[in-house]
Amino acid sequence: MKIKFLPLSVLFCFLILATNTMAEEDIHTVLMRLESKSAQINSMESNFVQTKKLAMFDKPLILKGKIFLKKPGQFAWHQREPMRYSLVIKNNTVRQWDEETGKVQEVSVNDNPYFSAALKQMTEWFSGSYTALIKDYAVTVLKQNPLVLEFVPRQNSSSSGLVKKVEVTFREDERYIEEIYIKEINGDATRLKFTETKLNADIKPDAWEAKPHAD
Amino acid sequence: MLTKINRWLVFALFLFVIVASFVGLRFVSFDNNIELMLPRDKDVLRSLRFFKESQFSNRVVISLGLKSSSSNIDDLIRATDSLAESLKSPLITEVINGIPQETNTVSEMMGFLRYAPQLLDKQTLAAAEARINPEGVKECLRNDYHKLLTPAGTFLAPFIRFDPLGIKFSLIDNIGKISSSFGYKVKIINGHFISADEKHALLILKTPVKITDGFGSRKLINYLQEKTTALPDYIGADIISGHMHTVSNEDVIKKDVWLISAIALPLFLLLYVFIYRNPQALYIYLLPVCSVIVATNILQLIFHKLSYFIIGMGALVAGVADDYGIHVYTAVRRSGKTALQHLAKPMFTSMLTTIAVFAAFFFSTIEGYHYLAVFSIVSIVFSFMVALFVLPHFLKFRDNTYSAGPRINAGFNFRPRQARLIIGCWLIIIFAALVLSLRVKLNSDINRLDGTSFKILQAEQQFEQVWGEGREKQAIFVVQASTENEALEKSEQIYHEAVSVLGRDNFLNLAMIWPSLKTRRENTSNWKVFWREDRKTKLEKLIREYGPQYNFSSDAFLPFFENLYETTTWEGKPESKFFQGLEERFVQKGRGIYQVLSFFPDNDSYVSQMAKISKRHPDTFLVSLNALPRQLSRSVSSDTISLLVIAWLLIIGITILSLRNLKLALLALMPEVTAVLVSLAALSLLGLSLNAPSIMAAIVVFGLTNSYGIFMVYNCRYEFKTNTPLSLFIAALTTIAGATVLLFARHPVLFSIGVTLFVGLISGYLVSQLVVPILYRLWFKNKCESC
Repeated sequence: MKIKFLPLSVLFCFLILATNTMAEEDIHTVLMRLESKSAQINSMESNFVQTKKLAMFDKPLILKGKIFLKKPGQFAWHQREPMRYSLVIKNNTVRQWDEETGKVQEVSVNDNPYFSAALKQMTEWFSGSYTALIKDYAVTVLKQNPLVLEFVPRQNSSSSGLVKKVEVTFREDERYIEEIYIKEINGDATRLKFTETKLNADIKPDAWEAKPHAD
Repeated sequence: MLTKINRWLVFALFLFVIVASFVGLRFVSFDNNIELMLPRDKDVLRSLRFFKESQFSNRVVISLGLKSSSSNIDDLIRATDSLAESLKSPLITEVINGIPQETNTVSEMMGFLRYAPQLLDKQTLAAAEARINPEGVKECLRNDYHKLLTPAGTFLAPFIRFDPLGIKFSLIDNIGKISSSFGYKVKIINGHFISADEKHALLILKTPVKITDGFGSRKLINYLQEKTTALPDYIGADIISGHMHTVSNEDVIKKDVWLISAIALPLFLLLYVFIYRNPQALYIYLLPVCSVIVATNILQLIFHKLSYFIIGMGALVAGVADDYGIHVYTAVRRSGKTALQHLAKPMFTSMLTTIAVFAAFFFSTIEGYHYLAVFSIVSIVFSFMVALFVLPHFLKFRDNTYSAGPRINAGFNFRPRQARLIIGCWLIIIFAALVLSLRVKLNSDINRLDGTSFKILQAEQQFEQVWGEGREKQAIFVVQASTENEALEKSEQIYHEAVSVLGRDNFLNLAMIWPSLKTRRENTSNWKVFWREDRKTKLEKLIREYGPQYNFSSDAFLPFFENLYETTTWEGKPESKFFQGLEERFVQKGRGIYQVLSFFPDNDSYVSQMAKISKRHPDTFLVSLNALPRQLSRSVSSDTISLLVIAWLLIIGITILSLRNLKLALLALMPEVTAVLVSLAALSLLGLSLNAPSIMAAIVVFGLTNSYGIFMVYNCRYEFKTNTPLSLFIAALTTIAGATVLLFARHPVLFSIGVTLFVGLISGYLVSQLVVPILYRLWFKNKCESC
């Protein structure tokens, strides 16, 4: 009985391994496809709604505003609610404005470790370099049409101590992200939803200024 | 005169010495430690030793860059990883290509902030006290709420939960500031060090090879160059390291020595063959070669090591050694071996003055000059002895009617009108040279003596542009002590003094984030007292009361209160990688001494202010890369100028003692005075400045031209039939030929020596042949018929 069982179990193991290898290859193909589509995008402008469920807060926190992206490396976050706030990243420098102080503050990303870590996380999902993420995350397809991918940080990756998983929902045409959901290890969760997204549209120069912005 | 048996004994002894010296060459070891050529200046040596023994000397940086626009950052990262992977050699102990992927910056920061009770001082607690009231707490909560509203809020949340009053954030700011001491502006992309333009990646290698180790440096650079040539075509690599300078300088000197030898040796051979037209002239040719080999062995026996630089310089000096052979050969050919009796005295005086020149080198604080002195003195004495006692026995001439001598002598029988014209021209030249020489500037910039290739300097400049982004270089303030705690305590004291002078942002010290054990204990004790139960309860109550206004839950800041005393009993260090990296940067141990380093902008104003602080603390010193070359140059220049004065005094003294006549001595000194003035004038006309090597060359010119003067004075006074003008002509011709060859040297040291020697020797020789006989006739009124 044992002698017969051994070759069967070995065959079973091979099958499992083969299935896993195929899954890895499929993911790679999907990510390559997404990457090639996002490569055609040089700029993005969109409204956003961010819902934060933090253990620190009694009620979920809802932030609304506009986001701008331009390759290479330009990022602007203009928040309208519940407080007006602007953040612009350009040439490795971060400029912030908030309505509380009414002042613009400039921070070098390199000289500020927590800002640097936060920006790494923020820009990672918008960069479009999805295949590079395989190194740090185990990626699975949760749903097709629209495509939803789940990214679970690999052990010892830089996000492993902080993030439990990230779910990214793509638009129907898969050219860009529609929603990002980040679940943290401590139970906090953030959902960022994009609406009225314009791809490769001309972005007004004042979008790259940290200052109060009109709706 | 030697008997036949004694003569054979002398030959046998000579042969034995030469054969033994040839065999001994196999055991000669070279040590290209640059310290050998540096003065024993306390500050300079301490700075150089610091670099030699510190973390800075065992680092090599490779900057990889994308050469093609069709390649991207992923290609760059792949190439960086593959190069890092391929570097497996005992020459490289560690390869750092970025921050390890497993490094979790947020967790590491969180872990570090748990030590806050040990790290926050009384002022911070006083600031906290000012916030524990309704208005203060409301303001803190509002700030926390606003921070959480920003995109970075998700990552700030854990920090805020542990720090409702925001008192620990100053530590994070300090970590950011202190990290800038690493000097490079890098982005971390996929865990790699990437430049701001995202076209370059950085690899930092640790090596056991010291930059002063010439042979180790060559092995290391060859190994790295071999590995970087295997990179894809679209990736370029620049190796930035002190080792590159060591190898490049050595290469240039070696090439120059070979070039000089390749030109000079056949040239000398041709000179001897065409002038003497006798195969026995080859003995003169072999004499300096033998003397160099013997001197090399003696140097090895005394000092157990040699450097290419000493050999290069020594070989040049040994060129002087062939003069004795020339004098003996010419005299014996003209008047037979009896001429040696007349020749011995001027030759001995000349040898004494030349030895005096090199003996002056013993007064130098530069160890390499002592080696050079021994090398030169040995080769000169050996040449003198062989020329006088061995060479004559090898020379066999059928007749002694060699006629070239009279032809040269004939030129000296000037008519009074010609003599007046010569003296007039000489005086005009002397006057003009004096005026021009006053314009020569002393250049003490030792960097000008660096023969490092242009390619390496260009790569370094590009590296600065890519990675430095115009950042000011950092000077280092070093605190030393026998224990780490003691060093940290002293360094902390310096930190408080320094920030009061330079400002908090301009002095980076480990105490900014990790004070000494004594201070940490004090801080902990203060923390415990501060957070006594009533204050803690008061804060909890205020947060409960005002938190809901900002949507904070009742347990929003529970981690802060629960861990209030967590690390108050810990005495160990944080185990995070970033802390270990910082500690490695700021604290180093060597030879049982702990050194704590602090960094500040390397400009004159800050350096002078910190120097004042250093004076007040005996176990401290400053290392400024901007000030070091100046310090070094000043030291080298003052050392060399002292040598010049000593050499001159010795030469004057020996000349007066030997000739026992002030007027004659003055005559003998004419060529060297003229030679030095004309050399300085030439430097001025060529727009060159006077530097340490040209002063060295001037000292050699003193010795050589003084010999010309002495020989001519003896010749005029005693009318020996030794054919002195001819032998001086050949001696000068061969030495000037050697100096001419130096003008082709690429190394600035050898080139500046060449210019000084060339001009000095020509002018000195001409004065000895034209001016000395005329002045002799004028001063001593026809005491010498032939003059």
